[in-house]
Amino acid sequence: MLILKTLARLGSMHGFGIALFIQQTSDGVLEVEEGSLYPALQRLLLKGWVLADWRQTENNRRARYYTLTPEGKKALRAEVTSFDKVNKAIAQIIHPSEA
Amino acid sequence: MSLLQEIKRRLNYLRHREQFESDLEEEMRFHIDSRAELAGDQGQARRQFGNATLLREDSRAAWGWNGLESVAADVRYTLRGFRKAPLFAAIAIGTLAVAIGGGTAILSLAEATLLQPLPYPNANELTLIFEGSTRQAKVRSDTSPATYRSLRESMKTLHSLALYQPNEMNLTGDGEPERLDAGLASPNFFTTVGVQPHLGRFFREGEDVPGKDTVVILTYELWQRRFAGDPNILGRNIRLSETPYTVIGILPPHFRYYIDRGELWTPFASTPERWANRGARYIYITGRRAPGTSMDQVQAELDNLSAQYRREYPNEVPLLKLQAVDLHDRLTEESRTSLYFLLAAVLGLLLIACSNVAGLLLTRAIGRGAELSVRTALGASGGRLVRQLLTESLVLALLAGAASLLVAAAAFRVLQPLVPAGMLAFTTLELNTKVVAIQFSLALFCTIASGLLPAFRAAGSLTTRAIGGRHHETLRGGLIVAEIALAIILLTGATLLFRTFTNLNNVDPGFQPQNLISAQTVLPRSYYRDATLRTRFYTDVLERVNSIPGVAKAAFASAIPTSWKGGFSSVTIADKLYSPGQRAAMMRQVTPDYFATLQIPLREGRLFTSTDNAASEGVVIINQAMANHFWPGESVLGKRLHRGGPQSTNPWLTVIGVVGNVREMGLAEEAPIITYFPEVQHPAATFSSPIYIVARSNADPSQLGPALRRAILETNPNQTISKLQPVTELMARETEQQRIQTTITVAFAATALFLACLGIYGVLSFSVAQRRQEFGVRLALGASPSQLVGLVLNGGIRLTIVGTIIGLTAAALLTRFMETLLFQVKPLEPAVFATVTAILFATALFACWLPARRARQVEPGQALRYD
Repeated sequence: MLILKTLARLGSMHGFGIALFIQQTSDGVLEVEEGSLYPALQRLLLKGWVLADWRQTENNRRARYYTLTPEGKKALRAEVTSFDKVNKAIAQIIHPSEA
Repeated sequence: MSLLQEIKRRLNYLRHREQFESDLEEEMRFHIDSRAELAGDQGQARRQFGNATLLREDSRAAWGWNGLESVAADVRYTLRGFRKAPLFAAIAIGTLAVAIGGGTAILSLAEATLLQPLPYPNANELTLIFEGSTRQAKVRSDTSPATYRSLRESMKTLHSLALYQPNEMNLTGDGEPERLDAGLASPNFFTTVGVQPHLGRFFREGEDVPGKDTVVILTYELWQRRFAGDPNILGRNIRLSETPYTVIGILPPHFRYYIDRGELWTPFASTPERWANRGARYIYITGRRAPGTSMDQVQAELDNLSAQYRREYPNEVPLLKLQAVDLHDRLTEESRTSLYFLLAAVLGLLLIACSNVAGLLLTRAIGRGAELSVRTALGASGGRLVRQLLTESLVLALLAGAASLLVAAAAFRVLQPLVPAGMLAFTTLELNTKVVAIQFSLALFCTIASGLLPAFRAAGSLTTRAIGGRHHETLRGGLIVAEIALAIILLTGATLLFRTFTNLNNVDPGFQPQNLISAQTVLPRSYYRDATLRTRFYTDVLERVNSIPGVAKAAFASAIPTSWKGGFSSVTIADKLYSPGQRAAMMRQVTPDYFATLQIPLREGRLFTSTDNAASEGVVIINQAMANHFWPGESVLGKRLHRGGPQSTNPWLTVIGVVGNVREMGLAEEAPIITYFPEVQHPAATFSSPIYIVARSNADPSQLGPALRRAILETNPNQTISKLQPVTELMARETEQQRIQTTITVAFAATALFLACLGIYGVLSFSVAQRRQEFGVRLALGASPSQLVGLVLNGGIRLTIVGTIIGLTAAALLTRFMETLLFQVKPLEPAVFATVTAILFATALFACWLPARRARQVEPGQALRYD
């Protein structure tokens, strides 16, 4: 979901860029093994939620850029909705007064 | 919708796998480079990225076919491993293949004989009735037509009672004359059994009357063999024992029944006198149990009826005790113990094979500790390693399964003759698909079971880094103890059977079977009635046979030892009280040279001569057993006896000689009591139909066959001649089953012993390799090489002793189930147990000594530097 959201925000980006973005936006809280991004990206490719193509970076190196597909966008919306639901539910349990 | 596309994408991936790999590689390199640029530290970047190899594998896994691909990789890896360790692979696969293949062959036999139902509808209802004696519980004989009639009228627990009787007939015309096994049956016999005619019909009521009984039903096999399956056979006349019979039906293929080898069937037709005779027993009764009726209920009814008949006919059947036996039980009775024994042997060998393969896999897993550590370090999880090791077991199982098929086919061919011919009649023996399926599950189960323990051990010990620790040795030691114990049990069984076999071969049959040839022939009916004709035929043939070069002596007899022919009769002895339950004597009519030809020794008195003829006094020769039975401690010469009970009008005969005992009923059976009559003095009507000619030659008797045949045919061209063969061959058939059973068991035991020793060898070799360092230290501290050898031997011997004690105890408990298989050897014979222990110890010591020797070769310096 984080990858999908990142791609939704950045348009298209390469793996390293995605990792960097997630790290920076989460203020370093979500610091995972950066490499684990790649198996996840493969699964997204397989599901058809993202597309990949090789482009030149600003530094003139070849990198694989990932872009959301319409299906990916739909999946993201569904995931966000369910995430919100769960989040809300957890919040209600933890802070019952605010409900 | 997306599933389809997903499959399309997966397929696409398969086509461009290399492209994928290089893309991923480049992408990851780009990532790490970028990070390194940012952090200014290549190492830091790598650490942050994680395990690149593992991540690549995970990425690939996403595209993979649900792990299929990694399984394929495991299989490839395994095969490569087997190629690198061919000895390990060969031993593991060979061990399992022998154990499972042998097991499969034996399972096939057991399936066919013990489990396979008879090919008749509701065969579990079929019951046989035998006549027994209230005095002797074990006697089970044929019964009489009169008893059959009584039972047919009164029995309630059995219905559709039918009778049949084995018979023999001469088939003449349409080619060479032939002596055929035949059967006589009551009209309802085939309907009781439940078969349908292949062609035509079965007998009708009314065809069981003398004069109307000239109809015949052929077996499918005879129809094919003799009449080439002629479709117009029905209504044809064929000549049977000089009488024309009309063919009315053909039986379905493979038709057989209990004690029947008949190739053709005619109606059982008898005179009113014979129907009324309750004492003459020569027929079999079969019937069906009413649904829901147990064998006990049938027996209870028979017990009541027997008591009733004993009261009603006290003179004819004073000791009658009818017995009901389930047909299938009766047929499998004799082979059952053997087959259970073989099944136990299979199981034992299988357990040994499993322990051995488990031991091998364990050793291999431990030996591969370094390799597995490297794989863990590269990111393989414990579960992944277990999967790898289990894949190896699985590949091993499949290879072993395939190899065991070959072993099974070979073993099956060897085992086939073990099944008694009577049982083979109902089933065609083959390795059927069911058994092959059982075999494969066995292969899988065994190998995975053997692989499971080592796999988890190996995976578990990796985390604790306790590879090759103490507990492994305990485990392997336990496996060895179990193997030795099982080997001892199998060895004990094999030794007992081997002793039985040699005992049987050392039994004195009471005559000299070497250089004897015999044949069976049948006199035309006209000869039977006329004693002069008959005697002239014998004299003429014997004259011709005696003039054949190489023939020393020849004789005719109504039966010969192990021919299983010739009846028993009660005898009345002058001046002795006759009791209805006294032992019956075997009856045999012979020409004078019978004893000289068979070389049966004369103990007392004289043998028959040509002066004992129809005009002279009636004489008889008896055997030692009969003399001891009726006249213990007395001289028997001149004593008088006659055939049949006191009321019989048979003439009195004088005993003129006593001859040695002959084991007429087979080597394992004591000699029966027997009376020999000169053929010329014996009433023709009682001379049983086939007669035997027996000749002693100076050399190989099989050379005599054609000359013997010619001598008979020159005398009478219409004689049928059958069973022309050396007597040793006739006798070998009897010991054949024992021989095969012994061979199989010895093979099993030898394999078990070999596997157990292989196990000991493996454990000790491994332990020597493991303890090199320790040995080096010991040597450096002053231990002598011999002490080291002793140390290793000690370990092996301790395992052997524990295994032997357990094995001997178990064997002592188990061998009593073998009692019926044994001859002149007791299940708990101390000599057998001593032999077994000696064999095992000798072999085990050798297996220990080989690796122990290596302890002597340890170089202290090198050993300490090692690792």
